[in-house]
Amino acid sequence: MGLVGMKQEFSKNHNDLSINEERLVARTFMGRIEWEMIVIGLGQFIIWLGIWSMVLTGSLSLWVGFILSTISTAFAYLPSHAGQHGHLSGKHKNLKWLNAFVGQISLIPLAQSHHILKATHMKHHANTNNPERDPDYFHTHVDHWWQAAINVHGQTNGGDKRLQNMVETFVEEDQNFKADIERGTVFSLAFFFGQMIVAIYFPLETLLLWWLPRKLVTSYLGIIFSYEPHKILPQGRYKDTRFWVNGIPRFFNHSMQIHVMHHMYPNICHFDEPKAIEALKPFMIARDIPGAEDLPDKISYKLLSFK
Amino acid sequence: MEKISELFANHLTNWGLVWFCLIFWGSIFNAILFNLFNVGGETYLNYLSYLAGLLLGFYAKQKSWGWLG
Repeated sequence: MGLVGMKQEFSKNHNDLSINEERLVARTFMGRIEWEMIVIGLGQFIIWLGIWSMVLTGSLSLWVGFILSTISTAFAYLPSHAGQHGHLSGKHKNLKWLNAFVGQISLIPLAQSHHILKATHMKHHANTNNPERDPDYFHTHVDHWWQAAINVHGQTNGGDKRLQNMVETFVEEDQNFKADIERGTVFSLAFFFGQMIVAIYFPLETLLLWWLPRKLVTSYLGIIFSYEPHKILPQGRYKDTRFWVNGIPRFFNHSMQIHVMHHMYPNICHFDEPKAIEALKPFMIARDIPGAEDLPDKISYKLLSFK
Repeated sequence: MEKISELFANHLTNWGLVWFCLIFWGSIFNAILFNLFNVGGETYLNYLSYLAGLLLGFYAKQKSWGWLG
């Protein structure tokens, strides 16, 4: 059945494919506390500390520690990302502090500031794929994945002048952005001095348990979290992100193959996205979201292309 | 106080990478010399490691290699 046929089929079964109906369906998946991300955020940090402790006491070799630390650090970003979108507090206003608290602890292995990442990530959502205003643009709109792996480091370490200019523009025009950058700078400075101090006392451990894992993971994030979902796509709510497959079950890609759902409705928790996609599939196909026509009816842990 | 804070921020913006390479990479070069090649301990070798870190820092600053930080 062709795409047109599929759309007609869905239209028969789902009479109302309006934006209001789409929002009503999406809202049923919003508002809960994403406790899984709290467990992952704090858990991976405790594991990372455990690896340090075991290496320093000699009960784990530095090379095994390096591999374990790299795997553990790969889980450091998503809990902060959940906090950036308020998923860690859900609809409970009195728990809002959890978003920055867990988000910042989770980012310690990546030596990044939660507030700075939040500020730039919100701009990414507001201006996805805009060459003038999307902070992720310089590693999503490149020719090869390895360029994304390299360019993403310009974003996390201020090496990219184009991004610095973009941030300066946002600071001038957006007070909330400026406040987040100022708050986050304190943590960035702490990481800057912290790494130097730790390196004086434990140089090779700092290199192999902290610096190198965070560099490798940053490249992984640039490819899997940014480049693959957005690569060479135009602007537009239903056009800027795609479903994709890479031969590996989505669970080993932090489910970034279904990142489209997050861009459509950022308030839906990461772990609720598969169910939300199943419910919103007719709307996604009707709006020509890239890759939506190949979606299986049930989003399992398998490859998305397995129907 | 605000002026000092601003001067400090400007200095780190311009020279932070050089400081990082001097101390962070200098310490690592020193440890590599000591651990892998079983040399070090002599003061001049320590200086050499940190000098290498400093030179790397200047080069990184010139090339805008923020990823070294």
